[in-house]
Amino acid sequence: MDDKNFYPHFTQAEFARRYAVVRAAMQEADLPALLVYGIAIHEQRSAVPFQLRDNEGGIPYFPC
Amino acid sequence: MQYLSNYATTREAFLIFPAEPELEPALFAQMYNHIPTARRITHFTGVHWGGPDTAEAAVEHVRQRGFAGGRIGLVGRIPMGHYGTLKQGLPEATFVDFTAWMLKIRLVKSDEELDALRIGAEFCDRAVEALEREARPGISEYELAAIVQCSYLGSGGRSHIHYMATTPMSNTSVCVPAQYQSKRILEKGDVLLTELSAHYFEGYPGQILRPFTIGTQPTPQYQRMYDVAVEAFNRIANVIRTGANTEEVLDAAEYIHHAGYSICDDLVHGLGGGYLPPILRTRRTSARPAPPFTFKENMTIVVQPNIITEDERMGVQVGELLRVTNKGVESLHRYPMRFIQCNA
Repeated sequence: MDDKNFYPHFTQAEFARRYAVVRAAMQEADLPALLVYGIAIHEQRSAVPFQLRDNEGGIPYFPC
Repeated sequence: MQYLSNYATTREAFLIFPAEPELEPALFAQMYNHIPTARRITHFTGVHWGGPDTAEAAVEHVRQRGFAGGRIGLVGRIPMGHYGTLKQGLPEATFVDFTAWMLKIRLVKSDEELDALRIGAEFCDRAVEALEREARPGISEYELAAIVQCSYLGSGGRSHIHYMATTPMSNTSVCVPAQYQSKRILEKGDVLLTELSAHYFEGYPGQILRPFTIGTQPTPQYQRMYDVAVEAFNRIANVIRTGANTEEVLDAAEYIHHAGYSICDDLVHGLGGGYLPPILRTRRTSARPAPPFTFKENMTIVVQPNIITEDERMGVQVGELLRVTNKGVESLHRYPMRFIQCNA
């Protein structure tokens, strides 16, 4: 078993269906590409993902 | 994000999804230590760390793919800083808000999505059964939250929401389940209001709303409110079917005001892939008229009348997740509709 299968996962057929529906809508809207932004729900309750570098302002920063 | 990738964002991520089927989507996610798990969960192989700035990583990928000079559909609530990065990094692109299209696509559920929602509904039912069994005088609202979550955590379930509030039926001060539980200790004679939602597949929760009494039976005032809530639920559920529209729902909901009550929470909303249309209140409690909406087969909705007194000091709420069919609605839950009595 692929270790992916230990997590909830919709089937290949379900993703093929979704992709077909979305791509049809993209064609109708004349869009060669989508840029989808996602943020965790719990993060919406916390600060913007942003840390101050110095007193002059901030830069988007993600420590690993 | 999850709909197209199977990855429910843990921090933040950009997904570049090409219309051309031969081109694989690409995901740029935060944080670096989240990437190994993201790769195991995501439906495709192109999963990358977003680097010091996720929007800059997305811009670079859009350029490499050759999309920089064309129309690009944006989906989601993009922070202003990121939007600025996209505008600055892709000055030739024309951005189009595609979010409403994606929401519309998600309204009607596939068989697999319905199966996922049924698992979520089962977890919610277990949570109600656990509260029925374990809620009692002497425990805190915090412990109610533990009871709810422990009922499904061991089976892979996770909380979507568990809104709960308690108040003495003899001296009420609460009309709607609360988003946060408090340190209040339950007492004999309390009413417990709940809205419980849990999922196995991220974004595909069940949802059930039931009132409980603690250590006693409902007072006549609460029993009447409960009876009105159930009658409102039935009247609304009975008009929903494929082809029905929101005006029919709103007509049925007038019963609540005729019975002498009002509502606090929304009366009806779509669920499964988001908090979806139609989001309805009664006509007189709506901030603006409800937009036209026609129900279709396999939409999933929650009917949840939250019957309250006009002073908002007393209320009950009942409801559950339903599937729209050609003949009416099908509940995805098995727990019966009743005013649950704990330790009575």
